[in-house]
Amino acid sequence: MTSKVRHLSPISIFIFWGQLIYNWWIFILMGWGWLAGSVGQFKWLFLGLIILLLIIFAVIRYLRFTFSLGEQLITINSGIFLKQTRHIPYSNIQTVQEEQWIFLKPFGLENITIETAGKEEKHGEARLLTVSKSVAAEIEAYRKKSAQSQSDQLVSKVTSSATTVDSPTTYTINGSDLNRYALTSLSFLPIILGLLWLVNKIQELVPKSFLNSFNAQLVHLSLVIIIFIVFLIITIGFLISYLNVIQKYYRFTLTSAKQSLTTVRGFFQRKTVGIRLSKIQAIDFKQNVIRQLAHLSTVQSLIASNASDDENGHNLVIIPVIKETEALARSQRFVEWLPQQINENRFKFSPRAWFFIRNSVLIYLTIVAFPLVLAYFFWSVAFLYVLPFGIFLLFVGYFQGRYVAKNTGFQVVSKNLIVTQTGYLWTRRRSFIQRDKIQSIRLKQSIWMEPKKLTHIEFNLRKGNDNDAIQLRYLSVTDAETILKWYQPQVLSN
Amino acid sequence: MKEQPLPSKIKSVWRLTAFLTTAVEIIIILGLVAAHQLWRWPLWLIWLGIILSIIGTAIDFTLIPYRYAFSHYQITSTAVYLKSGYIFRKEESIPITRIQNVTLEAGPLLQHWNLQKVNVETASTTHTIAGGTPETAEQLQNQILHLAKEARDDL
Repeated sequence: MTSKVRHLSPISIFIFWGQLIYNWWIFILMGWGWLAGSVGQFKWLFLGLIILLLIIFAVIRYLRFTFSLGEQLITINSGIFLKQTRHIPYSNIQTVQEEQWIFLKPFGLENITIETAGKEEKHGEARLLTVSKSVAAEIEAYRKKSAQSQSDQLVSKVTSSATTVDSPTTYTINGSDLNRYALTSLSFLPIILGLLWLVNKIQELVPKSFLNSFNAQLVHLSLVIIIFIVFLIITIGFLISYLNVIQKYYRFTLTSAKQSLTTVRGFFQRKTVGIRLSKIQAIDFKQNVIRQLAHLSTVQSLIASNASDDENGHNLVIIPVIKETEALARSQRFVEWLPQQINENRFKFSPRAWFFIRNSVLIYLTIVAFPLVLAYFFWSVAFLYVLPFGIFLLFVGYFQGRYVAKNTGFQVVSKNLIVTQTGYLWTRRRSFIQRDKIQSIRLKQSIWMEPKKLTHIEFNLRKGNDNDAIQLRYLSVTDAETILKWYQPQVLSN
Repeated sequence: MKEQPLPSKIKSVWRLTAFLTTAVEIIIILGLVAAHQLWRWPLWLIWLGIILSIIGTAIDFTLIPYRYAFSHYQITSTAVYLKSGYIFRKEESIPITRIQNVTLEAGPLLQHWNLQKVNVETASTTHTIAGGTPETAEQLQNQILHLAKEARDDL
């Protein structure tokens, strides 16, 4: 049976055109600059010609780009000069992501990214721009069909549980939760740093004379103005971060059906990501300090594929924000193997907080030491300012070390489940890991740790196409042995 | 299989590697001497090169017996265990069921002593047995095949 050969929507021409301009803008600018310098009158002609040429290219690309959905595989033809044909069997597809920019919505169109397994392959994905929303559903239907015909043992083993989840479970974020999520996000910190850098750059661009007179005024008004500017920057940074989080997780919905989870989110770009439950490597509950104080938690899944929130690497947010106490039970409705609850008192922690504090303070000391020494010898005025700042940073180091120490622990929940907890940069990460998803375990111990009966333990998990090492530092050797005993497979009877 | 050291021939491989490294360093030093003669490169560069290579060579050679003494591996019916290091110790355990590939590598030196570097690859990590006899490699591969045929570690 032959399948229909289809084109993308003509709107894709605009996107192709934009991509071409994006790829060539340096050369266009260079050509423009060169012409404007030598033969000025031709520059507009040049620009017009280039734009026309790129439009023609975009149209050709559109005409040459075809795809068809066959019974067994997707075929994609592309290429302006070099004709390329790609065949993607449905069984090789890892995830299908849909992105709908807000301007595509009236046309009922969306972009589809098809991701295949291939670890080696550099371009492990194929993109169909501006296709009808029905295409994704068609692909999904074919995929299910091919999965059924192959029906590997792994799937058949779990079908009994799948039948019980006939009606899809859904979770939709409500407004106040989203609001709280955005308010407690720490993503404003990098934005503020960026803004400060920008202000600094602007100062460099402003003419010296103006700046000098400005500086003279600044001395008079200094404190008020500086406080005002800092306040303004923090407000703007916070607002940007807040709105960004809101638009990103706008109407976030999680649906679970037949061995897969689907999340839909976003305002400007409505993004649909579907993952199979078997691809989930671990479930993380993350809390930054603010959320810890507010008893809120974020649930993410670590997945062995590239479909993810761009911000977080290979983590897919399952529930953006939820009350700490409800987090586990709510997630359990989507991910079966999670426990309904765990006993907080059964966590085993590192016995020696001092080492975490020492390391953290040492790291901050090396950061502080260099500018301090430099200031001491070459700029003694600044030294007086740098010194208190340095001491402040050492305190930060002390508290950070203490924070990490307090949050490093684990708990063996069952024969097949362990919960690890680590702290980093004022964020607590609690991971629920199934035994068969731990690729290997590594113990690390220096000769000085031996008499103190301490060891680091590292759990290697697959994340995207890479490794994610969850390291619990300075655990007691007996605890590490418990973990190893739990992890090591029992000798097979035969 | 009990925990066992690497084949003792690996020491010869390491010694020869260290020797070759030294030879390369001597060539570099000679190059520096020539550069000093021809283009008046500073003399201290030569001294630095000599001191560094003497220290490096000394460390390389003296560490060989230690490196050997503290590298162990064990292949059981269900897992591979690797141990290495004395000052900074590392112990790795890889269940056979997680192993995706076993790749064997042998450069000219290892080939000469009929040894192979055994890379044990999981879905996310690679673990290395610096020198394995062909029997080790074969044993490992057989075990993985065997386990693949049997019911997998019941999880």
